[in-house]
Amino acid sequence: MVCGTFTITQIAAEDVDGVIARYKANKPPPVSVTKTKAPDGTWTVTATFPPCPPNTSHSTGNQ
Amino acid sequence: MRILHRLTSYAFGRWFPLLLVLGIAGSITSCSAIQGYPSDPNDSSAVLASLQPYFQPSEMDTYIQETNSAQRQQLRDIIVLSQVRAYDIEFNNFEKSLYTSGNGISTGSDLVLLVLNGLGATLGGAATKAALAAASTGIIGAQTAISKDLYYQKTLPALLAQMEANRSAVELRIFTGLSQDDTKYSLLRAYLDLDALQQAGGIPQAITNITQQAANANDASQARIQELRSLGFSSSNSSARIRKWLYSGPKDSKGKPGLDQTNFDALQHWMNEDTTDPVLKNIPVEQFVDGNDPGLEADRQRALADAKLKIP
Repeated sequence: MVCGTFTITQIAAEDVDGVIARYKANKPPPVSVTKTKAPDGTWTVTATFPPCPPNTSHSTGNQ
Repeated sequence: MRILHRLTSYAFGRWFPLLLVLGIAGSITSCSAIQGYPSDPNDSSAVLASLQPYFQPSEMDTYIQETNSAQRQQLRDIIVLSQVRAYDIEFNNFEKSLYTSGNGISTGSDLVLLVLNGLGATLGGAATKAALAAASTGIIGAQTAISKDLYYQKTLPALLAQMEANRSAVELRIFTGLSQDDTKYSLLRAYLDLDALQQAGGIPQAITNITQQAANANDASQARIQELRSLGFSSSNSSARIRKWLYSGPKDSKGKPGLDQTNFDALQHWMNEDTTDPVLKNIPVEQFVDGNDPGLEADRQRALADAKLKIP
C-alpha cells in the first residue's frame, strides 16, 4: 500500500505534465500532486498519498 | 405396522443422503493419518538408554582426572558425540510428534466440511440441504474453536525448519570444536554448546528467531522505501521505453498520445505481484517508471523482459 510523500526532482519542462499525470493515475490516487520550479529551471513534483500507519518506520514521509 | 414401515421408509429416504455423506467424510477422515516419516530400524529407546551413562556427572570426573592428554581428548569426544547423538534422537522424536499432531489437527473436520459443502448443493431435497447446512455450520464452529490449532499447523513447517537450522548451527560449532585440541575446546566448553544444542531444538527459540528475522526484513524494507521517496528524474533507456508504452493510448486534443490506462494498470499489477523486489508494491508507479535509482533500473529491466507486459 502506497503511503506518505513521494517526489521526483530534476524534471525537464517538457516532462513535468507527464509525471503529474502518472502520479494521478496511480490506484489509489494521491491526495494531492504539486509542482515547484527549481532555480535551475527544472521541476520537482510531489505526490502526497494517505498517511502511513503509525507502526511503519518510514512515517517521516507523511509530512 | 404399516405406519411404522412408512415412517422407516420416510426417515431412511430423507436422511440416507446425509448419513451417506457423513459416512464418506468419516471414512476419508480416518484415512487422513498418513505416516510422514519412514520407519526407524533403530530402537531409539534402547539407544537412548545406552547413551545415558554419558550424561552422568562421574563421566566429567573421569575426564578431569585423566592426565594423559590423548586419553583425555578421546574421553571428551566420546562424551560429547554420545550426548549429541542422544539430543539428535530426542529431537527427531520431538519433530515426529509435532509433525504428527500438526497434521492430525482439523484435517478431518476440513475434509468433512469440504464434502458437506461440495455435495450439499446436489443431494436431496430442501430438508436434506438444511440438515447439511446445519452440520456444515457446526463444523465451522468447531473449527473456530480450534483456530489456534490450525494456526499451529500452518506455522509448523516454518518452526521445524528454524529449529533444524538452529540445531545445525550449534552442531557445526560443536564439530568444529571437536576438531581442535582438548586444551582449546575442553569438555566444559563443549557442555555449554551441548546445552545450546538442547535449547536450539525447542519451539521458543525458533519463534524468537523467526520473529527477529521478520522484524529485520521489515526494517530493511521500510528503509528501502524511505530511500525511494525522493529521486531524480531518470533519463535511462528503460524509463523512456516504459513511458512510451504507457502513452500508447488515444491521442489528446493536441495530437499527443494519451495515457493507456490498461497498460498502466498492468504495470501496477505487475509491481504489486512482484516477489523479487517486495518494496515495489509500496511505491507509486511513477516512482518506478522515472526514479533514478540502480535498484529500480534493475526492476525496470525485469519488467521490460517480462513477456506478460509485452513492452516493445
